[in-house]
Amino acid sequence: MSEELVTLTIDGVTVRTAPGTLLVEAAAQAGILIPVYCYHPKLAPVGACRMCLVEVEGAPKLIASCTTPVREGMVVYTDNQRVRKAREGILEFLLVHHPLDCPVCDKGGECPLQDFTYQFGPSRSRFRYPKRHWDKPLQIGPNILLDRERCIMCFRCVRFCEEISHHRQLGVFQRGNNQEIGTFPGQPFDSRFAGNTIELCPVGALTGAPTRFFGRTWEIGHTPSVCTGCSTGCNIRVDSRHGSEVVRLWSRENPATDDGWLCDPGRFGYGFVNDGRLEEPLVESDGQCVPATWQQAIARAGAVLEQHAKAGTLGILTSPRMTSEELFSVSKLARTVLKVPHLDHTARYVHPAAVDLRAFAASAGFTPGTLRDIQDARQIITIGVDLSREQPVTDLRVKKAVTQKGAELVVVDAEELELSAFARHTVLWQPGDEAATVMSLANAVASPSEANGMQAVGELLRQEGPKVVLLGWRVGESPDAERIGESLAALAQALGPGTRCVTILRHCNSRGALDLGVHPAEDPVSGRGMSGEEMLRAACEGRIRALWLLGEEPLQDADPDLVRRAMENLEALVFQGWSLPSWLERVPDAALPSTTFAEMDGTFTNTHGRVQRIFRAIRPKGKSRPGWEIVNDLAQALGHPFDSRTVEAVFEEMCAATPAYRGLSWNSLGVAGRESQADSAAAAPAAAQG
Amino acid sequence: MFVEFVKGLGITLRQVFRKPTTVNYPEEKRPPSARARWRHKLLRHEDGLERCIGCSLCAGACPAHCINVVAADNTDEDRKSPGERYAAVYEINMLRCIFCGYCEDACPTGAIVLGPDYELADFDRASFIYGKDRLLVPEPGEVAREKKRLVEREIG
Amino acid sequence: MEFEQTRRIFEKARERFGEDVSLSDRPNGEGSIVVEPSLIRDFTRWVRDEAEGSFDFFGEVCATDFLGRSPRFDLTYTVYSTTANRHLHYKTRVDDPDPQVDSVVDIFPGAGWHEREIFDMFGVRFHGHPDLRRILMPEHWRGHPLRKDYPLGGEEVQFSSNFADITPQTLPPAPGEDIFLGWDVLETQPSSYTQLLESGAELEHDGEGRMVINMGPQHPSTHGVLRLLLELDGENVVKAVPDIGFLHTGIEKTGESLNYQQALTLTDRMDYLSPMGNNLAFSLSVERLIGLEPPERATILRVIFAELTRIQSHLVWLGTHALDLGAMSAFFYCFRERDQILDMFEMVSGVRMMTSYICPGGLREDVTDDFVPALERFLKVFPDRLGEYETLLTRNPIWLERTQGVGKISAEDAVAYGVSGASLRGSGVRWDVRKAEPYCGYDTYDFEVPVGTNGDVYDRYLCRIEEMRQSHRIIRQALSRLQPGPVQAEERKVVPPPKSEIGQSMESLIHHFLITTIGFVAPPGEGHVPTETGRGLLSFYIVGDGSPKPYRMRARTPSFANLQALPRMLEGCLVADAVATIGSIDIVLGEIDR
Repeated sequence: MSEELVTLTIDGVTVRTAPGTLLVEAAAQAGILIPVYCYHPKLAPVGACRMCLVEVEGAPKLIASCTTPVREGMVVYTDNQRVRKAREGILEFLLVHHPLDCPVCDKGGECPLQDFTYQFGPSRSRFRYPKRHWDKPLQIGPNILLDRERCIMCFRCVRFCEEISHHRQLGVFQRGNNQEIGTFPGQPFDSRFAGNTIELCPVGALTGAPTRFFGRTWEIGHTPSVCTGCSTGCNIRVDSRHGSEVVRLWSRENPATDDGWLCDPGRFGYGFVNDGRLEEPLVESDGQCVPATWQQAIARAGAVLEQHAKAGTLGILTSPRMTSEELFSVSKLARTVLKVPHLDHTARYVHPAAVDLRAFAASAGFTPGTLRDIQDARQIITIGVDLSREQPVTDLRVKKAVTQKGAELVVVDAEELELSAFARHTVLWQPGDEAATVMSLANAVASPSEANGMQAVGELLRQEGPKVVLLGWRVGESPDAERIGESLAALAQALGPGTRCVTILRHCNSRGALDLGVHPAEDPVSGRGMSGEEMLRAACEGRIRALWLLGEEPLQDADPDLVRRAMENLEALVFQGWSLPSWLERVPDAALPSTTFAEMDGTFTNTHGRVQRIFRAIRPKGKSRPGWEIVNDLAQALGHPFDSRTVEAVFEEMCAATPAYRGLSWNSLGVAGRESQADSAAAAPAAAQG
Repeated sequence: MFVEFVKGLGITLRQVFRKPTTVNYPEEKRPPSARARWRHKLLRHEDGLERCIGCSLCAGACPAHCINVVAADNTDEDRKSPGERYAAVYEINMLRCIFCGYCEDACPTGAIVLGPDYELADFDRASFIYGKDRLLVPEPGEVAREKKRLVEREIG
Repeated sequence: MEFEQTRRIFEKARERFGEDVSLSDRPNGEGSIVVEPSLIRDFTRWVRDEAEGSFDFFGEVCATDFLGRSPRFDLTYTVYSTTANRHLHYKTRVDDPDPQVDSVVDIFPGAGWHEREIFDMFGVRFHGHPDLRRILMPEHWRGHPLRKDYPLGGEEVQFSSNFADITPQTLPPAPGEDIFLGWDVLETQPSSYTQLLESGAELEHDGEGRMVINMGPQHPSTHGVLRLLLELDGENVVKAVPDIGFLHTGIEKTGESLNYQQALTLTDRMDYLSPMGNNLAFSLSVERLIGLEPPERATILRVIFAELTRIQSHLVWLGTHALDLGAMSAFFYCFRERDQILDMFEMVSGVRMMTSYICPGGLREDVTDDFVPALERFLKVFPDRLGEYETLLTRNPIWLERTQGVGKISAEDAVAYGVSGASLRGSGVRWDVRKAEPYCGYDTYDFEVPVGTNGDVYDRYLCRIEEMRQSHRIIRQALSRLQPGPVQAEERKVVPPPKSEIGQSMESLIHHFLITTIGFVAPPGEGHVPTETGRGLLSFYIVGDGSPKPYRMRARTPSFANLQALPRMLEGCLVADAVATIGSIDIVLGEIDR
């Protein structure tokens, strides 16, 4: 910015900041804490709670620092007698109707009302009258409980719904003492972003229903990690008890991925860590699964793998929710020891040309982009992806770009999406007709005369400004993907160079699986390996007789009928994962329990290529072990022991062997991760630095 | 020199005529003081409801981190304590406890108290984890001692 | 010790050392003089010889790790003047990657063990120290535990849900594994002491008739888990090397992870024979840090309990000391009176020993109605009983034979080593912190401080007997002053509100919630108040950082310094005399090892 900075004095400290900065933010830059309730950096300021009052020289009354931008030469006092008295008074008012709930309130111990009362508030009460009462708690949505007595009317929750999620399900009702937060009559607060209001609420008015009574801050361990719900790679904090149980997930802002929010399926979807786990190794005996030692299970699994690898009848399906270290180890075992070319991370149909969707987009001429590019875009196009359901937190980013930054959105899909309400245009295609539709769009952009009813869209997309295309994985699963690719190339040409494309993949480490080559690859000796879908078909025909299945995701998303027939036909099955799928209708020869993300260190790569670390939060359940350790044991049992014995060593080995991860080191990942090389030739500067 | 020895022996002889201070435990037991801080108890209200509301303040105050509280919801059909919340799990690891009484100081409802029972020896480590089954007093209402204590500490 | 006094000394220091000294003035603090590391020896010499007050007594040197700051380590020296009745703090700062400074052990022999402890716990090296090796941790330990980047460790607490998951911690590295030092090992010259440790049995058959034996760590007369290596020539002790650390439980490190009230419970367990004395020293330092005064009644009661604790501690000393030397009956009689005192402790706090009764703000609760009558009964009986012990021992020829002329230490040596308490006063130095730097209103009570002349075991015995008498006198006076009133300061941000309020007042509930769990917040600064327990000079040096937990909780304990002087006292004595001497310095391993 070439604008001149504004200079002001806060508590005797000279502060220089950009014009337009709010006083409360300027103070924060100088390390001066001004207590706030209604103010939040991501919400428009309202000046409702009056906690942030400060004295400004020349002004007769105290002013709210959250609604006041800095002015040249301002002299501000945030900690003098007058301000302290005001804060004490505000807190006294806030406490007047506040119920004596601290011992039973989930917020106690991490409550800004408690903390500011201790720091700034009165220590004795003068209020001797009855407090107002409401029925409580009220379950206003599947995940949210409302306690109206505790509410201090900061309106953060309502503002979040209005400004960020745009799911306008909360409102303020009544006035004065009777003012309350509520949902519209008969309507639940079931937004998939509802959980964020639990974090925003400065008191225990909005609390999580699934996490009710999870514990107290002094009993909880906090560990940084990454959500495994989708491929955004939202940074989270895992809260655990006794080192053995995950009790809550909390956000951990990373502007590169989540922008500070979580979605409810991710936030509340940690049950799989605590319950239903495969806790000890099993081997098949007389048609039943019986507990075994690790040694026995490894021996049995190794025998199956070896036998069928030699015969060329082994297929390997790994979950794209496993860490990169696990995937790398499996891939290494497959290619160098078992010499099996049939390795994939999904059993759904994927067009061979679009196996790596990012490469597919790059070959169409798009520059790989990151999720953050969305908020700087002028025009955003989503193609074949329903962000609201498939990558919710990115949906918030798009909404932010459209509603706060003036970006224009074009949605291209089979039907109207939730995001269509924010789109300038929705372009619909018929199933099977995707390539033609995209080509028409490309033409409409390229030449106004060939618009074919898409004049307005074309004109919009011809405008100046950074453009971002969000391409969904469903495009790669179309049998017509090749032609769609041609159309995309035309579109890229029409949109102009520098148009970024973020490919939206399905699972939290789909990108990692692709980077590590966990997909059918051209093998010099055996030719091209089978894809996951081909493996299932081959199993039905008896050409694949054994499957090493890691995780349930590859089969879970596949054609259930195909899966069933394949399972029936298999001679042998080795399962490795954190829980034995209930729908698996055959007894595995060996079941090897592996750890979830919460129980080990490792990395995931998000959809656009950001490598992020997860940290071990709880002890492995039962006898489960990290997948790469299990693979090490298998390698040993097969007579080819691997050298890398720690997760760090596996990571270093992985990076050395993977073009996209060259230059990354374990210690440099920190808690926020780093961008990998999106493609070695044209990695955009923003993507490479992270 | 001899005189000093005689004087000393005289002191020893004097003890014969003094009442011995030995308490022949376990046949005789010294009465514990009114504030004796030994085995914990979870008290009830007069109407039988548990005083403990599962707030975990005791666990937070404990210097040895030896209290484990898992809270749960009361329902009208199944009510354990007054109000929303009660302790579904309440455990004290008695081997870790240092009997400082901070849990009793922290408890806002007068639920957890340290009582006078000090005869706590047992045989294996696991049996020193006292749960609600061993801590909760079976009968509603407190014995006089606890009641006096609660009054002294100004809890209703 | 007021800030002004420090400032005056600083001005003089400025004249002498120029810009290399500066004044550090933390709020609520007594101030300290910050010295350039290269000048530490000159400054220490100046402080001892030339500074106003001539600080002759070495209190302690301790380190604080300010991880993230450069320079990283603060070394805080505290010296006392036994004549001018004041003390002085001065600091120097050293930095990673290889923190080191000159040793001052030749100026103040008492610095020897403190510097070893800093080396052990923080990894700061002291040039010129004759025997720089670990003191509390085992020889082959890796890492420096009190550093902020060293994990606290510890075994998770077992409950029914995680019972099977908790297994014993892995043991420390076995002997023979490389000692992690991080620098050239040869730089620290192996000392005669090290050779002594290493030599072990080698001397046994070298023809000179010398033998090195272990006295302890399991021994009835070492008064705790103390290992003394004795190099013997027949029955004569040629050299004695104490080896401590067997009772090290990481109290200072644990204190950093607990809030102030919780850390108070750790202090009970240091000098376990004078728990309320430790509580008092800690509470005074914390109150100094946060700027809080307890009410009058609390202060008077604190004096009563401090003196009862002193009497009770001396009774244990007397009983066990006499028992070591064969006078078994004294043991029973002393413990009988001690029991009366412990009963009184049980009346007011509920437990006999680890009371945690004196806390920052005052006392946890007022005394019960039966306390004062019980105290009066005790006070009535005690002088007679004390007379009985004296009849048994003071002029008993066997006693005199065993204790006179044994375990002598000169006044100069005692002061230079930082020996305090009766162990110092037995040598004729009339220095008692209660008189020299009064706290809790000790300057308003009439009492004498007994001193000896010869500095032998007998004189130390006489001192302690008389001290018990004087304590009795103080308690009588205190009791007569007792008036009804509150026993906790009315500061709601530190002391929780009465329980009756938390059902009615939102503010009270919030403060109760936060103070009892997360703890009250202490401002950044330092708190240090020296006190006199039964063993001598006990002081806590607390560094606050604006959080509810102490950033550094350092305990300067009298037994640690007194034990340092033991080898001096044992030179040339018989093994049997070693038993008498160890008893006479009245050490408690809990506060040596912490």
